[in-house]
Formats: sequence, C-alpha cells, structure tokens
Amino acid sequence: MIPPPRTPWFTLGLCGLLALGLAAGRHIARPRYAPPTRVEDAVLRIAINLTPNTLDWNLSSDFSPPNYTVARATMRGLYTWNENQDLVLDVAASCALDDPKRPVEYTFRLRDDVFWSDGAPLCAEDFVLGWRRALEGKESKYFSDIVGVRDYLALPPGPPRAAALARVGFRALDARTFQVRLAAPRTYFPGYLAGVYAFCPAPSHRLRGLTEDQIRAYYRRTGNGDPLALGPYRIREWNRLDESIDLVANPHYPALPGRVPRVVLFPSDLATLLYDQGRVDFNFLDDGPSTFRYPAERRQAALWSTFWMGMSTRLLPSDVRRAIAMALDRAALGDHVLPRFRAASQLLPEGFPGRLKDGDPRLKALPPFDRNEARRLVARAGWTGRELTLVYHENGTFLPEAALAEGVRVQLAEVGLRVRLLGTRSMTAEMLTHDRRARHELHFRRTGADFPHPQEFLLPFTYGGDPAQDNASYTGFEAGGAGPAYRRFEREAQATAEVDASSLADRAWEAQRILLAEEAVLVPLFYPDRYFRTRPWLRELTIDPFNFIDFTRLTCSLPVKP
Amino acid sequence: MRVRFLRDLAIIPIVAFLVQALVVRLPVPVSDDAKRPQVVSLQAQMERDLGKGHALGFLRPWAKLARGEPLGNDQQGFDIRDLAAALGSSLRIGILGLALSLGWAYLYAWFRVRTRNPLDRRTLELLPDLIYATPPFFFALVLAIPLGTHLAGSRLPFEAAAALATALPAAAFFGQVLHGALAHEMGRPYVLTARAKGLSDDRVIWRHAMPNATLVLLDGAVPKVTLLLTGSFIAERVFNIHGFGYLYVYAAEQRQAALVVVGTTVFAALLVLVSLAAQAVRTWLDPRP
Repeated sequence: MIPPPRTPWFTLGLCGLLALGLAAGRHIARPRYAPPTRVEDAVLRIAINLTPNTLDWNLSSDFSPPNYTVARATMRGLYTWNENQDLVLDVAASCALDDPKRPVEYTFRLRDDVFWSDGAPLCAEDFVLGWRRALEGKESKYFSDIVGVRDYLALPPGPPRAAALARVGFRALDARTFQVRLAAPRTYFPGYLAGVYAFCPAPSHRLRGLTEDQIRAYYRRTGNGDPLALGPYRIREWNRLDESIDLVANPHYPALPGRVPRVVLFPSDLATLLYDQGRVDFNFLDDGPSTFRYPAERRQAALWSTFWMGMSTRLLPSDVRRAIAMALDRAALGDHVLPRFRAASQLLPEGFPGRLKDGDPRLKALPPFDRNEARRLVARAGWTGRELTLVYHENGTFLPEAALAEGVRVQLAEVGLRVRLLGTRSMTAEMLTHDRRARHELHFRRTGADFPHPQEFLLPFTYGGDPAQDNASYTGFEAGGAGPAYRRFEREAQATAEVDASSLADRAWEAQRILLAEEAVLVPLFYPDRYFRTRPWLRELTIDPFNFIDFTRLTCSLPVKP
Repeated sequence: MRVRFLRDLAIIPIVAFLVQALVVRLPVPVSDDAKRPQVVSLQAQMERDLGKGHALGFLRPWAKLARGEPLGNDQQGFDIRDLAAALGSSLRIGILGLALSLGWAYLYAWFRVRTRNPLDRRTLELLPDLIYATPPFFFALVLAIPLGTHLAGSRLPFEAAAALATALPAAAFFGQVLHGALAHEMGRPYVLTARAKGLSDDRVIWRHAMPNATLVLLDGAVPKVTLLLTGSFIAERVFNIHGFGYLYVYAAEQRQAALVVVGTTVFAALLVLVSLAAQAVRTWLDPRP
C-alpha cells in the first residue's frame, strides 16, 4: 500500500502555476512603447489590410492598393508629383516636346545621377524593357495612346506580333535619351507617367538575356538585393508566407538627413489595438468610434476624391432625380459622422485641376438645396410615398456609408420618398441585372483620382460598352447611368484632341453641368479625408491625395549616431 | 514488418491520386457574372497544374516544385522554400506540443497513481473534463491576450505559445489513457513481486509499470500525434503564424488545387511516418513478436 501524501501537492502546484502565469501575463500585456533613440535604430512598422501581391510593377494590376505604396517607395518614373502635387520631371532632366501646344512626341533626356540600388546607372533601355514587358501585363490599356500599341495588342501571339513590337512608338535614341510618340495629343499622358506604375523602368543590365521564367524568379526571390530599386527604399525581404514586406533605405538614392532606415509592412486587422500596444507606428483611424477617440493624436489628409450618390436614369424620371438632388442637405448629413465633413458642391474635389472656384457664377446652374421645391417636384411626378432602394457598401471602409445612407433616408422622407437601405459586399453584383442594367434606384460610390486629371475623374461616366474606349474600366451601372446628353458630349470630347489646360477645364465643367444639373444622374455628397495617427518621432509620414501611404519624404526627428 | 512498411508507404500515392481525381472534378460555383472569367482562369490553371484525366497528374505539382517554380498564383504563389518554411513552422509547433503533452501525460499518470490526497484526486479527475469541455481556440486566445500575435520577424515565441495551446487537449487525452494503463499495470503480479523485493514505489512505476503502460499509449496515440503535427491551424490562426495548416486552408479556400494535393500528400506522409515511428518504439519497448 502506497502511503498517502499529507499535502495536496498537485492542486497547490497547479494553482501556483496559474497565479504565476497570470502575473506574467499582466506584466507582458501592459501597453508600453519605447521609441527608438537614434536614427540608425529606427524601424517604422505599419499594419495594413493587404500587402502587395507582386513586386513586378510592369505586370502588376492597379487593383491592389498596397502595390502602389511599395512601388512609390522603391521605384521612380519619368514624372512625379512634388509636395504641392504639381507634376514635375523625376528621373528625366528635361523633356522636349515636338509641339508645346499639341504635343505627340516626348523626348526625355535622363538625369545622369540616377542609379539602381546595385549602383548601375539608369539608362533609356531600362524604360524600353519595362514598357515592353508592361504591354504583356494587366495595365497595357494605359499604353494604347502610344503609336502602334493598339495594333500590337490586337494581334495574337506569333511572328506578326513580334514584328509589330518594333513599330511601337517608344525607343531609346541613345543611352540617356528616351522618346515616346503618341497617336494624338493627350494632356493626361504625363499624369500616366507619374501615376501608373506599369510605366516603371526595368533594370536591363540585370534582366537582359533572361527567360521570362527567370525574370519572374528575379521578382519573387528577395533577400539578395533583388529586385533592384530606384526609389528611396529597396526590398530587403518579401516574406510571402507572413505576407510582410521589409524595406531598407536605398544607398544609391540621394541622401536625405534623418531618413528612416527601415520600414516593415505587414497585414493585420487589429492596427488600432497594435498601435495602442506600441507594436506599430502608424494607424489608420477608419471606423467611426476610433475616428473620434483620439482627438489629440488624430491627423488628417485630404483626398482628391468625391463621395457621391448615383441615380438610375432607367428607374427614376428626370424630375425625381432633380428633386432628390435638391432635397439633400449635405452639411447636415455629415453632422457627428466625421470629425471634418467637407460637403461637396461639385464633382471635382477641392484643389483638383478643372474645378471651378467657389462663387463662380456658372455654379448657379447646379440644383440648389431647396426642400420645398423638391417636395413639389416629387408630388408633380406622382412619386410621393414611393419606395426607392439605396445600395451601399456594408463592408468596412474608411467611409461611414451606413450612417450616410441613414441620413439620406431621413432627408428624402421629408420630401415624400421612402428609402429602403440595402447593404452589400459587392456593389456590381447587387446593382446589375443580367443584361447589365441598374437594378436599384440609388447607390453610393466614391470616385478617387488615380492621377490629377479630369479625364480620369470622369471616367465612371464614360459611355460604357464601346470597345474603342480602352479606358472604360468601370462596370455598367455608373457608365450606363448617364443619359444621351452626356453620351453626345463624350463623343464630341473624344473626337477633339485635348489641347490646353483652360479648354480642358471648360470641358470638365461642361461634363459636370450635364451630369449634375441637366441629367441629374448623381449628387456629390462630400470630399473624404483619411484620419490616422503616427508617432511623434516620425516626420512627413502622410497619406497622399490618391489615398496611399506615402513615405517617400519620410524622416525622423532623432539624433544621429556621432 | 516489411509488408507493413510497404503497405503504409503505398497509402501516400493512393491518397494523392484520390485527392487529385476529386479536386479537378469539383465544380466552381459562380455567384457573380463579373467573376466568371476568374473561374475560367482558375479551371485552366487547375488543369495545367494537375491535368484532367492524367492518372499521374498528382506528380505534376511536385515536378513544378522541384524546378523551383511556385504553386498557385504566379507572383503570390508558394515555392518549395515557402512550403518548407510553413511545414517547418507547423512541425516545430507540433513537436513541441507533442513533447509538452507527453511530459504532462507522464506526470499526470504518475501523480494520479501516487496521490491519495482527496483534493488532489478530485482535481486530477476534474482537470481533463475541464479541458475537453473548453473549445481549443480558447487556450490560444487566453495566451494571445498578453503575448499578442505574430506580425513580422521571429515566429519562435508565438510558435511556443501555439504549441502550448495545441498541447493542452492532447495532454488531457494522453494523460487519461496513460493513467488508465498505468493503474491496470499497478495491479499486476510483477509489480507486487518488485515491491516484495524492496524496490521503491517510484522505481516500480518508472522502471517497470510505465514502459508497459506506454505500449497502450502508442496504440491509441498515432492519429492524435498526426493531428498535433499538422492540425495546429486554430492556434496558427490566432497567433497569425502562417504555417502548413494555414497554407492548407488558404489553398482550399482559394481553390489552389495543386497546393491542396501537395498538402494532402504531406499529411498522408506524416501519418505514415508517425505510424511507422510508433511501431518502431513499440518494438523497442516490447521486442516480443
């Protein structure tokens, strides 16, 4: 018989272990943040929703926003935007135009102080190689204004297509001179060169002679200096398993005192919590409560973007559309919904090229806020008491769409229209019928500027279904929403070569007048901002007007090692 | 023994073949017309990666991996190094979890046989039931609250936490099985003889009864060990460790057929390996034919 122990050692040991674990847990869980003490040790950690799906910018699609963030940090183009968002030359020292008023030929002289991250100089062949690869990629439509590209893209793979490549209108005149020839003048083309990363160069000294499989491997395998970079940072590691991107300062980029030497991006849905725990240094304040929770730390960046409500021309008569446009009090919609609500009066956002100045007499043509008149129009059309459906995105974005939809419902009730709110995760699927026409009367949408040009901003309303319009990348209901007046205007505008900024602004206004007043297919509601927090030691970490994290000018206010 | 070895090895290609045959025939539902081109491209990729109607199509992903090419999407896909890293992560979690659960099981069985204290006995009886009644992810969440989750950089602390969370249910199971077997052994005549010869209680347990009880553990533990090695998905998810479990579920969700086939084959191979290892340990402990 085994003698019984006198004390319950097991129970006591277990309780002791639990108490120890609890105490250790409380100690570990205590939020603490230790900022770096000097520049050399500084690491900027950012939690984002998604990480890049490729580092091969020439073949990348523009549907992945994080691609843009990393591309801007690691790559440079012929043009860029300066801190005032003016379009300026970047890796090109000069650009000669064949005709300053109606340019079709751009001859770029490359700067001789631009180097890849392995120290090799940038040359014109790098652009030829990068652009040729991009013609096979997902963004080849952006190249269709260049001479010969449409013919090339129309051919199936084979010898004729290979021969057509030689006739495409970009070439290296010498090691430092790169020339592009367009089929017709296009004022937005320099914007493309700054904003669309398919126009990036590729390091020809590294890729020349490699097979396509080897080139793919070059862009996948990181850790040995590849892929080469031109921008302020180069890729140290792309961990596909962890989905993290580790960037380090590019030693061959012009020195910037205090530049943060390392940036790590990784995906997480808990960025606010991680920021409070001191584990990340940047935090988007996206959901409603967190937008208001940190007034002292909160910073905001204005986007070149407009949030608007679209109205189906198929399901709503003209008078009712106009009544809806007149019934909405934009300022009231944003009360207590966002810290700063910039109510929209035009479609083009504040500071955007082509936008009319506030007080411009032409703006009187737009429907004013007049609820009595709106009620009268609804009654005259016999629509009082009718139910409309407003479709909005229910998945979390930085826009408080559900709250705004509720506001629209309340305001339209005052003019006699009942609104049913319908949240969806796929706007296109919910809005389109099988024959690709609008299924519901109202929908929300944000139009963002991919680059500052009215052409791009008005793209959603470009008449859909025309295969000749390569840029019409939006689907169905927005494009189909506009009526015959806008389609006629579009056809005329497309037929006219774009010439100068003032005529461009006139056309941008005319487009707005038709969309907002004559056809009343949409009501601009507000111009969104992004709200975020960063650590005090970081400088120039912000969101650019295109809604991407920008750390091209990122520095820190820390002492440098003596 | 050799027959069993060959029979077990044959399971691996059979499983791979069956999975491949099943995966390429699965219909891909389309909820949205706009996504139809993606589905077509997915089916084309599936046929390219596995070959429809090819009996040996399940070897294609392996050939691709051997050439250093990625499986799945071209740029985001996973190559042999990614797969090895993911498997390594899961195996580290599994092996550490196995060591923890076995360590716990032996201590638990020993304590439960040795103790006569009523409070200890009640605690020892209650503990496994408490663990079984708790969802496995709860342990991971409890640990994640103070530790946080893996973001970027070293995974080891989080792998250790995941191993601990994964080990608890297995430890409760192993402990109960081992205790049952040990209690049975303690009533057998050879234990009485050993005591009569003057051996201490602990020496009787550890030198004579425990090895015999371990044989029972080996018989019942093979599927549990395989689950530990590969099934740490919940803990991986909570701690944001992208191991093999994560990869497998990702592949299934994204309909990356080649990855599913490779993952299933690896699981089958691990099952066979564990089974063979258990047989080897059994032969070592009990060499009787």
